[in-house]
Amino acid sequence: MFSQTKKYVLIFLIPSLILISTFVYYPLFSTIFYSFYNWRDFSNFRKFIGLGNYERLIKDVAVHKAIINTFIMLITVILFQVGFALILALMVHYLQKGYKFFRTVYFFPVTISGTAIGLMFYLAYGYEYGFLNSILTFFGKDKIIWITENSALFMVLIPIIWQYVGFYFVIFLAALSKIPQDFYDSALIDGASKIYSAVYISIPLIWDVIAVSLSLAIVGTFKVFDIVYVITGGGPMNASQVLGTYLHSVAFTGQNQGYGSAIGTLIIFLGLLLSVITNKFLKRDRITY
Amino acid sequence: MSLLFLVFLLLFSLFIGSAQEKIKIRAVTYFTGEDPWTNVWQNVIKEFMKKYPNVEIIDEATPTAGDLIRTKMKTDFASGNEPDVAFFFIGADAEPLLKTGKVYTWDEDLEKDKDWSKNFYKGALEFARYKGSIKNYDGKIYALPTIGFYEGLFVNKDLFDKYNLELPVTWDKLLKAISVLKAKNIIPIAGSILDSYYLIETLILSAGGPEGHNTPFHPSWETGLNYIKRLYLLNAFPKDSLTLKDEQARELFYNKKAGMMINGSWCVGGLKDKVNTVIMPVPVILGGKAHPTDIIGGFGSGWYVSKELNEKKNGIPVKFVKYITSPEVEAKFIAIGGVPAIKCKVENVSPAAQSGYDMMEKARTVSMPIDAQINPEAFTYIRTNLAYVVTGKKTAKVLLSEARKIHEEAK
Repeated sequence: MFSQTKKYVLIFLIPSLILISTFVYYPLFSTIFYSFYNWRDFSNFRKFIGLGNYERLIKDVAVHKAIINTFIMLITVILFQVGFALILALMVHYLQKGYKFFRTVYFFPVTISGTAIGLMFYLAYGYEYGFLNSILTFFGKDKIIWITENSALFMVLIPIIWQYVGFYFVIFLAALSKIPQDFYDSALIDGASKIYSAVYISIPLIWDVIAVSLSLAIVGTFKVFDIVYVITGGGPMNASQVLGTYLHSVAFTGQNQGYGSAIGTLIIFLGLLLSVITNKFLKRDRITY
Repeated sequence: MSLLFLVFLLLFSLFIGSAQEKIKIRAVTYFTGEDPWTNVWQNVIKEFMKKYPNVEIIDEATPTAGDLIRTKMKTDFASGNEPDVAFFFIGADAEPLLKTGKVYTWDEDLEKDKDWSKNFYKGALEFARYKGSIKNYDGKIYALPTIGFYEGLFVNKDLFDKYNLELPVTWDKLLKAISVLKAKNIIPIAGSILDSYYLIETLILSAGGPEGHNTPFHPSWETGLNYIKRLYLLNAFPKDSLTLKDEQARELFYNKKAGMMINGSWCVGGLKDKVNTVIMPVPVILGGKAHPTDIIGGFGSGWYVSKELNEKKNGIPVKFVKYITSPEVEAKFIAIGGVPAIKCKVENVSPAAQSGYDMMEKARTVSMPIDAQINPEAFTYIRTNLAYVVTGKKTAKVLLSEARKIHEEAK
């Protein structure tokens, strides 16, 4: 009887397995395969060049800059996207009233597409017609060049962080709502402050959720593309270049799919490596209650 | 007997069904969204389908932004999903399409159907004559140009008149205009370093003349890029030119916030003031090899037909392209903008468009842009790294040698 159920489960799992294999694993392995070829113009003709594309990858200044930017983004995302979402969730959890209002307000940016957010911020940062400079002009101040070589990365990080704070906020809030009230009541009787309760009760009890969120945020950083592409395109002078935008520039604007595949393989490799490291470092015994 | 009648009825209904089935023609163009010719294209399709009710044109227009059309066309041809008809770039971008051997050649039709082919300007057709290593296409015309283009200096003449400035026909006059406009808080040139296609092409032409411009990585290319740097250091461009996109730069010119703009004929349709805008060649730089009338231009796109699909669909794709390349349809496209490849009567030409035609007509030479001559990756490298040159973080010589390496590797 049990094996019969297992058979049906397997039958129902097969369609999704086929879809994932076709649209995820096949392109993924194809990307690795093509990274060893000189392949351009999406043509049917390509030449095996071994590690040629990877040699170029090692020397490519734009790739170095993109990796550094991705790691800066990674740290910022962990601190401000996940960290800020946790603080907000803890505050709203203690607030108890108005829970739904804050959940809706903070979650709303997640529903807007990255391209639309990118365009909104691009228009806000504009020098001549930008929203921010309009405010400055209104108050009699001089206009500012918002996107420069020094500020570009920071300016694209603002919308990236803003967009996903709400996503982690909702996850944390849902996890916090599952903690029994008795724990807090007991802590209150023992004279624990709100901060003490948050650090010693709330955070340890939702640690597994925090770990998953951190993994998602880290992997997500390697997929950042749309917002950067629309606001700066990776420039000026690669100042806000990330691996995703550079891949697009090489593979689609430059029509070099072989080298683009090597950059894609690097993204896959770094994403996998960091998620393995994250899981190893954040692994703790799960507290059940 | 009744069985026989039933079989006959079935066969008859099948025959009627197949007779009524429309011939579907997939057409890929970039006439979509903000493209100035979108409306004309959509009306032309409707008119053709009205004229030939048994034909259905499936409009697969794909934008040029983000190089979407390049990706679509090349992957469609490589994967055996090529469209019946396409309006796509000629030059370097045609090579991967021709390599598949699926592209129809027009020489026979041009020879046989004189009533139709007599309307083409011979010079226009030459832009799509293949001269390369693919033997099957050597010396043949693989696409039919219809809308030509030019690149030049757009001048808001009313602003020049207001500040008593002469038209910048020489480099000195251009420098004077930059200095005066700056003093009056007008952006001198609405140019984008990020999307610096036209700055690169016109200034390299100015420095090296057609010979230097048309020779990949000629020494004059370095001079051309250094002159862009000079203009940048003179604050001739908008303050945010390193990140400003071409569309936004154009708006600055259209709204009279800028006195000049180096751009192409596709901007004529978007001009808000078509009376006070003058289009002229970019002045020759000091010591430049170009003639004052030399310009960048030509026919960068043409109508392609799939050889096999044309045979399968009884020549309808060719018939459709012949319809589009008729003088009547051409006039509709040219009324919006561009330079005609086919003799046609265009009425109500704006003064701005007329000045563009005059520039094209007086041109001693018309050179195709650099991005049609070198590998796209190498050109993208020059364009996206030009910011390093203008800000002094890299020399033009180093940038060009790096781009040359990419170009050589691609070969």
